[in-house]
Amino acid sequence: MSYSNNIHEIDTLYREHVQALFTYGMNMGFSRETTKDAIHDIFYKICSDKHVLSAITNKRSYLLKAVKNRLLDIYKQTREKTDLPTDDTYHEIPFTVHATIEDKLIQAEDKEMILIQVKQLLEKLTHRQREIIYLRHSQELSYEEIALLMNITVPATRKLYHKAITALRKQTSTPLLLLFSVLM
Amino acid sequence: MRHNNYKDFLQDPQFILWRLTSDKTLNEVWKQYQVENPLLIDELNKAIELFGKVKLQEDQLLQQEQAELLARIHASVSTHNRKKQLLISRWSRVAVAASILILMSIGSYFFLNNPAGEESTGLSADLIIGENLEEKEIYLITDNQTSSFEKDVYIEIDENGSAIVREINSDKSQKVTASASTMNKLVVPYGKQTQLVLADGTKVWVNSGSVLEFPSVFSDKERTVNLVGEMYIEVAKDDRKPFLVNTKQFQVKVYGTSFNVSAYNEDINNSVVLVEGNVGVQGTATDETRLQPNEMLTIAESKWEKSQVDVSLYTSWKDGYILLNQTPIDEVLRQIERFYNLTFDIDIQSRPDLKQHTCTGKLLLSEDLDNVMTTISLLSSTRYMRDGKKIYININP
Repeated sequence: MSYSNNIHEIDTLYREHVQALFTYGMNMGFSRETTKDAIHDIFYKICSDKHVLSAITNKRSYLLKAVKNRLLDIYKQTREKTDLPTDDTYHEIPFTVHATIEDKLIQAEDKEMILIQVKQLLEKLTHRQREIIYLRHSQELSYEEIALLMNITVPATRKLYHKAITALRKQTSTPLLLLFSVLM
Repeated sequence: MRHNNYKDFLQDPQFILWRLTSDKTLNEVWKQYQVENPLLIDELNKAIELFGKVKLQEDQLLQQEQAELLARIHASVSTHNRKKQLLISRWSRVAVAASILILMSIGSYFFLNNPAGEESTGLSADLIIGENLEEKEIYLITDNQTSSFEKDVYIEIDENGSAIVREINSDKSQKVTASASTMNKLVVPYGKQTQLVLADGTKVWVNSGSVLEFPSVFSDKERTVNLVGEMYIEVAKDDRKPFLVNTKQFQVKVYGTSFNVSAYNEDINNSVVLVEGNVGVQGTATDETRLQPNEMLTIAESKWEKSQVDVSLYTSWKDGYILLNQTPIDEVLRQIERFYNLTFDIDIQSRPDLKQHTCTGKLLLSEDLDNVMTTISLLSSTRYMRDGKKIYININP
């Protein structure tokens, strides 16, 4: 009977986070259906065990982590089936980020220009670097939350983030240097 | 890089990196830039505003996918809960007491959050109010006796013409002697459904709010049943004895086939939908109309119309779900009224905008009305609340 009591709470939780969870799964390179299955599984677990919900403090990072773990399980299972090495290879999971502009008022020409620039910049990063940029700036997670999610320590998270930023800065080094020299 | 207008900023990787990461060093750099280039501040701000629309996510769940996924979660959970309930049926009395308490608390939550209540005209105008009606029993009336059943039942007529009645999800069964000479009457109220196997092996799913008359032994010449309401029927093949379904407005003649007949008295349109085989439909004053599989005959008093249909839309109720395809919410609620014995105060004349709230997807007719109503409200972008027997649907949440 805890279910009907929780139902509104769970629906709200679902509505608030489902889009972010879905995008995260898709960014990890899983299909729409697989990502939906993973979301189904974690919400099913939350609904079936009333203690799970009350124990969660940070809902967004809990859900992101749960979806990620579930997807990694699915990933490992399918790898086993295809006779690939089964070591902990989840660092290799590709992480892609696509930029979009939904505003209809922006001219197509401007849109195109922005998207090409963003794409070129993000392509220079490794998958892990892309993931951290996405989590930090699109999901607005703290270092602590990202550390939990990426299974690394907080200092390692900061380091990874700064590496990503440095890598990006290198791409733009020429104008930056010029600018600095102007400022000096 | 030299900047003349906002486009130059948008092509500057430096600018993009800054907007993308809000990096501290870059913040300083661009602050300084503004001090030194006051004439370009407007163009820079325009570029910042445009870039603000960039989102790092392309793949979005469509609204319908979102609703379907939630419905799937609810369906899994309710199956899980039902299994659990079977295991703890000893506790069912306790469970019922608890669920009443919970419903009351949801109700008071609703009123606490709407202190204005009915007085706020804006709110009540957007509200459909429904009520859960008193539960009724299924009746099986034979010339010897009248039996009533509280739960959905499965009835099988054996070769001696006796009816074996079994409660669904239970081992309890009882034998009712039926009459061979006169018609037996099965009354299925709103909120209930019954499966029936006739003496010849024909299977009938009788929908909520229907009355079916049938003999326990068919005559030598023909097999006849009378229907008010809706049924899905799989007629056992017998070339020598035609099967006849009589309704108020028409008669369906069959030899071995599956089809759905909807002949509710309160519906303007009655219909026959043919799944397989071959049937002929005849009115009191019309010639016989033949139907092919996947055809629907819509019968309004003066007008008969044949059309090609997706039969699953009309027959899925027997398997415990309904398929919706851009179905307006008022039509969905009319169906729900029958399945769950509810009544909604829908006045489509005064609220033509209701037609804009449509539902698309698969609606599981689970035992838990809250699940069903929540799915409907998700599919139609409305909001659902329940206060005991009263149901509220907010059209513009």
